[in-house]
Amino acid sequence: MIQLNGVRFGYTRNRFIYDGFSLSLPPGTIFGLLGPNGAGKSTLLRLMAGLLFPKSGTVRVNQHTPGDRKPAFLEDVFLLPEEFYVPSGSIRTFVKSNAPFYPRFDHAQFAGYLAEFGLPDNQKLTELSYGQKKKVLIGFGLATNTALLLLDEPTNGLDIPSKSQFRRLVAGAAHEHRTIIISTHQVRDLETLIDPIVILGEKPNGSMSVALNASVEAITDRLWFGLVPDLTGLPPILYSERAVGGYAVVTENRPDELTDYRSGRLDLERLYNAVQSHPARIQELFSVEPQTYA
Amino acid sequence: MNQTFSSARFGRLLRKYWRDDKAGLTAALGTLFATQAATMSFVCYSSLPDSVQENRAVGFLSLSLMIWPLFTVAIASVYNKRDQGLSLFMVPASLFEKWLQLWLVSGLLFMVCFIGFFSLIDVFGTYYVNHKTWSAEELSYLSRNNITRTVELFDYADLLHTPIWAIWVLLHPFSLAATLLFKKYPLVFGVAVGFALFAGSLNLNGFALMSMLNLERLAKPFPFAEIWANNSKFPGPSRYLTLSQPIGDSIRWGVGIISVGLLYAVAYFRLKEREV
Repeated sequence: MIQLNGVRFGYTRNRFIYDGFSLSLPPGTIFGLLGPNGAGKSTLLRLMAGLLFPKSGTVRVNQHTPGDRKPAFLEDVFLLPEEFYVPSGSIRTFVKSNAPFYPRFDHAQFAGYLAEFGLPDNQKLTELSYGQKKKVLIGFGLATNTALLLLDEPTNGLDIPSKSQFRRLVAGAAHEHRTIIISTHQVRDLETLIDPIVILGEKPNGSMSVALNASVEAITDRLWFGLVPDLTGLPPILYSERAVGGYAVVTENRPDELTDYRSGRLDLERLYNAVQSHPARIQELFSVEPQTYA
Repeated sequence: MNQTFSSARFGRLLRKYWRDDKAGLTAALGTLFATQAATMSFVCYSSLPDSVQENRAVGFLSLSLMIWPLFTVAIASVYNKRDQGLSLFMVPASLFEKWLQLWLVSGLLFMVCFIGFFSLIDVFGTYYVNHKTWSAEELSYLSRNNITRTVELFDYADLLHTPIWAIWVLLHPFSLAATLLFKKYPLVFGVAVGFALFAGSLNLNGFALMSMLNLERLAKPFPFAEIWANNSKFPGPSRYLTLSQPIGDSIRWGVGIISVGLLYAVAYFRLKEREV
């Protein structure tokens, strides 16, 4: 269980990215963390990893306070940052150096990931491309079997086949005791993987809050995604954009008013835009964080 | 498992450090050996036997004064780098173990290697001096001044008679604390400026004593008062006189030890509070 209560954090004295920020994430799910550029998605992951300290409020991950940086906490969390450092040795040496720190590290599992990515373990890390290095770290992170796995923009730098490999591997490594949080702005890469979805939005004072924290089921229950020839006769539209053959829209889900239309599948990009353009209405619909947009 | 220190976990941390950084560390120690060998060959062992002993002490201290801060900054500043620092902070080991690893590599390992290399170079250097073929002018100078043609291996106790050894003791804790205190340009802001001011003020004190007491050599105000004495009316061997100051000496030792402890504590707490 990850619990952030009334967290205040900012890099400068007078501007807080988070001010009174609260979020609760239960175990056993793959959370997608979405937000605009500069919203503090990476900052949030770093607060959860204990790399940053909240100015006030509390961050708890299971029974630990991340900021204490205790070994018992660190051996149960793995963070893959967007920009990372790799030492100069081979993949084998990297595993030899780092795996002993993680009590549940599974060597066979890691070997399987390497085989899937087509990387030999005697390959030097510094000779790999950015995307290949990322694959090694993704495989390593999954094989640690930590209770918390934080992935910051994991699909950045991955080629198209690797993105589907990534989705398959992450889905296979998820289980009921493990929480995986994936921060991304490449929502289409992860549409079929993440559930629930957390979207950050800006409050009037400039700090960020949770604009949406809901499962895919709850979202499709309350919102309707589809393609319509024109914008008349629809329930309240939360977002629309021109598309081939009409408009791609997100509306409130009122089945009796949408009988003439065929429902499309959840589109994360349009959902994101709907949340950013109608935060108050989204909050009403989902009753998330009632104090956020008061 | 203990959350502050575990020998198994610390062993893993050291093994990880060696595997990840052995190329850099080996190159740094190789450069250290080459610098020591080159400097000592040109400065110490090319001089006459009577100068060798004093030049070795000066060489030992001045070389370590220049190289040790560089080495310490290079080792500890990985925690100031965003990506590398992040990966190090996320390693499942306690902050004390991470601090201890820094201390061990930048402090103890450096000193062991520095003294080891110095002693090795001294064996060859002493052999070279003792078997050197002196020119006629040099031989005449040596016999005229009653100087023996052989030198002994370096006696590390001689270091205590140089005025800067107390400053030298503070060098590592100061460099380590400064590196973690100043995230940017720690060598310039922390070590160079800070330590130069500190060492300068101590030496200024020594010069003031020298001038006020009309001494021929720099007096040592720290950690205990010592002056160089000779008698112009009755020429003979000169000697260092330790000025007995029971309370003053105790205070100086106390201040020195507390300073070392505080500087290491600053380094630890800066590491603990460092955000990445």
